[in-house]
Formats: sequence, structure tokens, C-alpha cells
Amino acid sequence: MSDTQSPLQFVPFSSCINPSFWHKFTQLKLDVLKLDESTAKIWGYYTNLDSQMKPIIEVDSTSFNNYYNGSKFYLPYHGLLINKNTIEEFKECDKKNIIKEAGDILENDIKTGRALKDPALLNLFLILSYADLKKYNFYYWFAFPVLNSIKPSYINSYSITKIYKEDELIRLCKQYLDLDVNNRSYFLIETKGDIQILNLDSQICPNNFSKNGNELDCIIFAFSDSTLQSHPGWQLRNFILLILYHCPYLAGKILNFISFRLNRKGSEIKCDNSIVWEIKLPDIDKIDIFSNTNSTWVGFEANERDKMGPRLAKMKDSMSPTSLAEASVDLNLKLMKWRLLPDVNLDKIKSSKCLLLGAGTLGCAVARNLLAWGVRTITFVDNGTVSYSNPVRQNLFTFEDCIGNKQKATTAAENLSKIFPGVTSGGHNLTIPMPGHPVGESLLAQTKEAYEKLVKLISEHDVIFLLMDSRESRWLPTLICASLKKMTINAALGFDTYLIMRHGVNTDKACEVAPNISKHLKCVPGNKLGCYFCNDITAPGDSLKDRTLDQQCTVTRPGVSNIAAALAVELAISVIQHEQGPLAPAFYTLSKFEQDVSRENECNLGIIPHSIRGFLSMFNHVLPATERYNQCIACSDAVVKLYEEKTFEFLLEVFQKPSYLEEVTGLSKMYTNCGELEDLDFNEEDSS
Amino acid sequence: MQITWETFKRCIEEFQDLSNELNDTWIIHKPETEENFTTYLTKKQFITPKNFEEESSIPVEYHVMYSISYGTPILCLNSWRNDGTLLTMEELWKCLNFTEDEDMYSTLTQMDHPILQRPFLTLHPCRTGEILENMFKDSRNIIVSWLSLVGPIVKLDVDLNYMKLT
Ligand SMILES: [Zn+2]
Repeated sequence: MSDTQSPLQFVPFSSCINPSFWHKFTQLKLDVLKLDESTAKIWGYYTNLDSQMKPIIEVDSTSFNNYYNGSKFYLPYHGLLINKNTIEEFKECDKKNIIKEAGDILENDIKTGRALKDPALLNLFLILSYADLKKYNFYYWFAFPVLNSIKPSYINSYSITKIYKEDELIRLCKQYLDLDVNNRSYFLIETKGDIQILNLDSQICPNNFSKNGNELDCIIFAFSDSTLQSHPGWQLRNFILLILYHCPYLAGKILNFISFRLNRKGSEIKCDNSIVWEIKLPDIDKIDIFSNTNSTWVGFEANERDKMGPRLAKMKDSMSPTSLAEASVDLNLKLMKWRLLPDVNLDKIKSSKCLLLGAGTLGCAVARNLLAWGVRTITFVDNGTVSYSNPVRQNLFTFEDCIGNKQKATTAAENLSKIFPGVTSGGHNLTIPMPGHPVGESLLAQTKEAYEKLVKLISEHDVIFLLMDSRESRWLPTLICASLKKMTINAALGFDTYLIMRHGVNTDKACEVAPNISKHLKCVPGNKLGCYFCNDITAPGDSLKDRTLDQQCTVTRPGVSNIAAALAVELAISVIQHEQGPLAPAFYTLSKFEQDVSRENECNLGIIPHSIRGFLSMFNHVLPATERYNQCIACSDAVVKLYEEKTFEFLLEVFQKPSYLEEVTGLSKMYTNCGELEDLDFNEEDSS
Repeated sequence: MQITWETFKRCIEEFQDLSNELNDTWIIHKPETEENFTTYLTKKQFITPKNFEEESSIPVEYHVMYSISYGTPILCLNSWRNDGTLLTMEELWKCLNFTEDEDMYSTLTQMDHPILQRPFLTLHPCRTGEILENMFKDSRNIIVSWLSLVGPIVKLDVDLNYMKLT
């Protein structure tokens, strides 16, 4: 026997919350508890099977059940859930008082003897909480109340196998597993004669002073815990309290306690990991146990930083439907990356801010395809309202939207957020100023405002999609994008034809071009590529008057806009993926027989054409590339330079008198007919 | 090879009965309504990952369910920190010692739990039918056979004693 007596140390519990606990709690808070702040009774669970370094108390969705229904090998811990309705109340409530109130319950259960009949009552914890259900943030603090004045001393400890033989241990273990779960936490082992387990109240009578200490000679106090070999668990503290109160003659005596610990050997359950503790109980008078002025209830759990303070569980990722949707969308794309495109840079796509000029058939379909690629910022510009003919072709609108005559841009944005709340989408009801649409005094301020707003929107975004239904409305955005050197994707429709192109970005940066180009291949570096209006000039007219491209009145085959929108998005994504971005060179073949377009300078998704022209009547595509036209009315140096010098003043002149552009570029054949738009269609024979 | 719901249910019930006998801790969950396809089997255990810095041991919960669309059993799992926040798919892979070279996304990916409608890491069921067909056609308890094979991928070992059911 050691004569050095050190204070006995106990291993405190760690809390472990199953996510289902927060789910159930949220549901109860919303449907049942609401603002009710009264303390709720809950269940905690612990096990003494297979020792953990840190003994844990678990709570889960079943913690809220009325009756204990723990899993096999688990033991009950009685819990009190004290929820506050505001963060202030949570912060400011008197923690000492809260733990004292829990302690009072324990004190009462001990004094009345209830804890002798139902020893699991000694297992008591509380959770102080505040739930911010909007943010799915749960603030909480566990406490396992014990009296700080009870200080037993450690004498010695050893394995249970030192005092019991193997057959006795088997017998003990079997008896233990036959015990009612409420009697398993604390019990007695009688060593006189055949070893056997006894309930506490069979040997200890409440307040019975007459019981002779000798009767307890052959009794060992046992409790279920599971922790380090060197220390007993927290439970022992309240057990000692109970013993001191009901067996006051044991005060100051040396007693044996057993940490009853189970372990699994194959399919067999053993108890040979149990530990015997020789402990000297404090010499304290029964009267003083609870009433001593130095007695305080303690036991709040330290937080993850090992400080005395509450913890915060941020459950947004697994509870907020919006976060779940975002994660699923991202996962889908990650699967693609993992399985097929290991080099694809999804973050680059996700962070690209897209501006959609036009919220019609093209705008709606482009937005949906961008969503599918994981783009998170999509802004619409349109000046129209949703009409009855729209919803069947424009896939962001419904019949309901027509009734209120709602604005297209804002409605498209709203509906896009309904499809995927993770998107940041906005709509701007804006008329884009156009050449040949004179601006009178009354409209001057409004036009200037519209222009400035457009410039602001374009500069705030990374990819600009031109998806309007008229050629004239594309002019100003083309010019602004050329000036701001923005990546620009243009899509225009005919009856059964379509054109998708990326505009060149005119930088001084030298573009790298693949050195070995075959004689059948031509290559245009990205900074030399033309715009929609450059091509315009060279595009031949079509003989069929019905097949007009890009006019407000254009009638299209219904599938055309979906095909074109899909191609526009795929082209944009390919450009984003290319290491040179919009400066990526465009290759095209000169020979009809050369199918093999160069695979050099391609991005991880393949080659990047300058333009895609599609002909639904033949179900085919061609991929022409053209250089910037030095007399282009939208992107030539002369026009851009003048615009940058004189800005709105220059624009006003163009709006008033489109022929002004001819003077600037020296072009004579810009607008042949102001009222009627030029016929810009093309056919495949001429397109290569 | 597909199995019927009735076969699945019989197999997991046998499984759980034997689990009780073997002092294992599988739990069968039956909804009060006893609707078809909603009974499933779960087990929770603590694993101590070597390469996970945050905590010494973490709870992992395994669910064995019936997939209506594949007509096969599916195994999914979740793990969480002690505040209840879920480990991300990538973190859980790390805990299970998956390396970058393995096709993790195809093997073990996040899907919604068909009954709880919450995200769980799921052992992808698209090849389960093939495995059942090729290896366990004659097993009397195909769930035991299948789980003994695929469980260890996610640190779920099935005691050899269960083989007597097959
Ligand atoms: Zn141009």
C-alpha cells in the first residue's frame, strides 16, 4: 500500500453530437417548442464497451424520445436541454445558476433515495443552447454537474484479473449483461461466497444510520465507465457523493471501486479490462456535503480550443437546402472532371461573371446552360415584358409571368434563382441605345443613363453574351466590349440557321501561334479576330427572303435557339478553359477535304473556333474564322479610338446619324436602308 | 443480377438476428408504416484514422439499404465531428485512406440517402449487380456475401461468423 496519497483525478466526458440531433432539434423548435424556453428532458448515451481515450456522451435524434431507447451496450445519461431564444440571452444567462439548478435535481434525487432505486439518475448532463435557424448555426455548451468539494485520494489501482479468476469474471459479465439498463451504471459486487451483482438499494437503505459498516465489508462498489487505464471516469464523482450521503460511516475510509469496462473478443463480451481502484473517501460530515459554503456545482465542458466557453456547430452545409443544392451541382461537375476531364479548371468557370444582353429564347437557354456548368453570377439585360407567346420558347418563363406583364430581365433572374438558389442573378430593365435611333431632348438623359449603366455592367462582368434579336442593338455593346477588351460571345438566329462567334480581343500582347500549320490550314491569333460587324460586311446575302438572320421579326425553328444557346455556352467555356483565354488562336481549314482541323493550341475541351455557323436544313456546321476588318464599324481601331476620346458625344452622333460611322471608317456602305435592316443571312457554300 | 425487395428484407433480418447473437451492433430500422423499401440496416463504429489531424477517433455510421432503381443493396456512410458537422466527401476519403490515384468519384460518391433524403457517401451501386451475378449467385444470404466483400473498402469488417448465413 502506497503512503503517498494524491488527489484522485477523473477523466471528464467529451460531447459528441450526431447530426441527426440538430435535424430533430430544428424540427421540434419549428413545429413544437417554438419560443418555449422551458427546459426539455433529453437522453444522452455512453458506452463502456471498448475503451476510448476520451469517454464520450452522444446525443442523436432519439435523444428527444420520451422513453429511453438506447442501442445495445449503451447506457442512459439524463439530460436537460436549456434553449435560449436569442444570442444575448444565451451569452448573458447565469451559467453558475444553471448548473446549480441541475445540481439541485441531483441533490434531491440523492437525498430522497430515488438514486438508490434508479442509479442512472446520477448520470446527469445539461446542454445550454441557442439555435440560429436562419444560418443553421447552433451555439451550445455541455455540462456534467459534479460537486467540487468532494475530493477523494488515490491509493492504488490494478486489473480486475488480479482479484477474480476467469470463471468468476465470466459469471460477473453474464450477470452484468442481464441487468436492467438503469442498474448497469452503478451497482454492487458481493464477493462473499459466490460472486454476484447486487442492486444498490438491496444493501444501502436511504438514510439508514443503523447499517453497520461491517456489512459492506464484502461489497465492492462498481460503476460503468470507459476511459484510460490510469484514471476513473467522471461518473465516479456522483457515485461517491451518493455513498457519502447514505453511508456516512464510510467517510474517510479506504474503499475499493471497480470501473466496469467491457471489451469484445470475437463475438464474446468480456469484462477483463475492468480496473480496481483503491480510494480513500474524503472525511466529510454528511450534513456538510451539500450545505458547505465551499461546495459548488461545476462541470462545464471546455471547448475545442480547450477554453471554458461554448461551442458553435455550423450545420449549413448539411442542413440548408441551398447549400445542399450547391454541393450537388458542384459534385456533378467534379464527377465530370474526375472521370473525363482531369485538367478542367472548374473554379475558373465558377468565378466567371456572365452578362446576358437579351433575356429571350437565347438568353434563357444560355443562362440555364451556364448554371449547369457551375457559373454562379448571371445578370440579364432586357427591355421587354413577358408576353403570351414567350413561355413555350423562352424556358425561364411560365404562363403566370405573362399575366402580370412582368419585366423579362428581372423575371428571368428571379426564376433562375428558383431553379438554383445558389446563383447570384440580377435583372436590369434597360433599352440599349442603337444607331439610327435619334435621341431627342426628352430622351437624352435617359439614353445617357442607359449607356452609363451598360458600361458599368459590362465592366463588372467577365463574359458578355450578345443575345439580342436585332443587329443594331449589338453595335454599342460590341464597341464597349472592344474598348474594355472583354470576352464577348455573340449568337444570332435565322429561320433555320445560326451564328455563334467570339469577338477578337484587340491587345498588343503577342499571341502565340502554332508554328507548323499545314498549307490547308489558316490560323488567326485571338487578338486579330474580327467581330460580328466585321463579318457582316463580307457576309453575302441570301436569296431566300424568309431566311433572314437576326431581325426582330425573324421566325425561327424552335430548336434553333436551344442549339445556338448551347453552342454559345460551350464556346465560352472552351475559351475560359484555354490558357490564353480570348486570345486563343482560331484555326480553320481551307480545304473541304481536310477534316482534320489542327489539334494544336486547343484547350482541354478541344479546339476553339472563331465562329460556328449552323444550317439546320442540312444538320451541319462550318467553322469559319475571319480577321478584324480595318474598316469595321464596331471594332476597328478608328471607331474604338474615337469612342474612347469622345465617348457619349460620339455615340450621340452615331445614334442621330449612322452614316457618321462611314465617315469615321471611310466605309460607304453601312446602312443602305435605315428603316429596313440589311439581310445578313448566308449559306454554307459561301462560308468557308 | 437484381434481387427483390423481399429477398433484401429477409437477408437483413437474418443479418440482424445473428448480429444480436454475436453481440454485434447492427440495428434494423423499420418505419412504423412498414412501407416497402424503407427498412434498412445500420451500424455505428468509431474509427481512428491515421491521417486525420482533427480528432483521435471519429464516428462512422454505415447504412445498408435497398436501391429501387438498381434492384441491389447499397452501402452508404457518413462521419461527423463531435459538434455534428459532417465530414466532407474529401475528408472522409482521407480518413478511409483512399489515395488520389483511385477512382474515388466513381467508387465512393455523395448521393442522397433514399430514405432519409440527406447526403451520404455512397458506394456506387452501378457495379453491384455485376458483382452479385458473378460471385454470389448461389449465396443463401447475398447481403452477407456482398457486404463481406465491399465493407472493407470503407473500413467495415464483417465478422466471419456471418458466413454461416450464406
Ligand atoms: Zn468588327
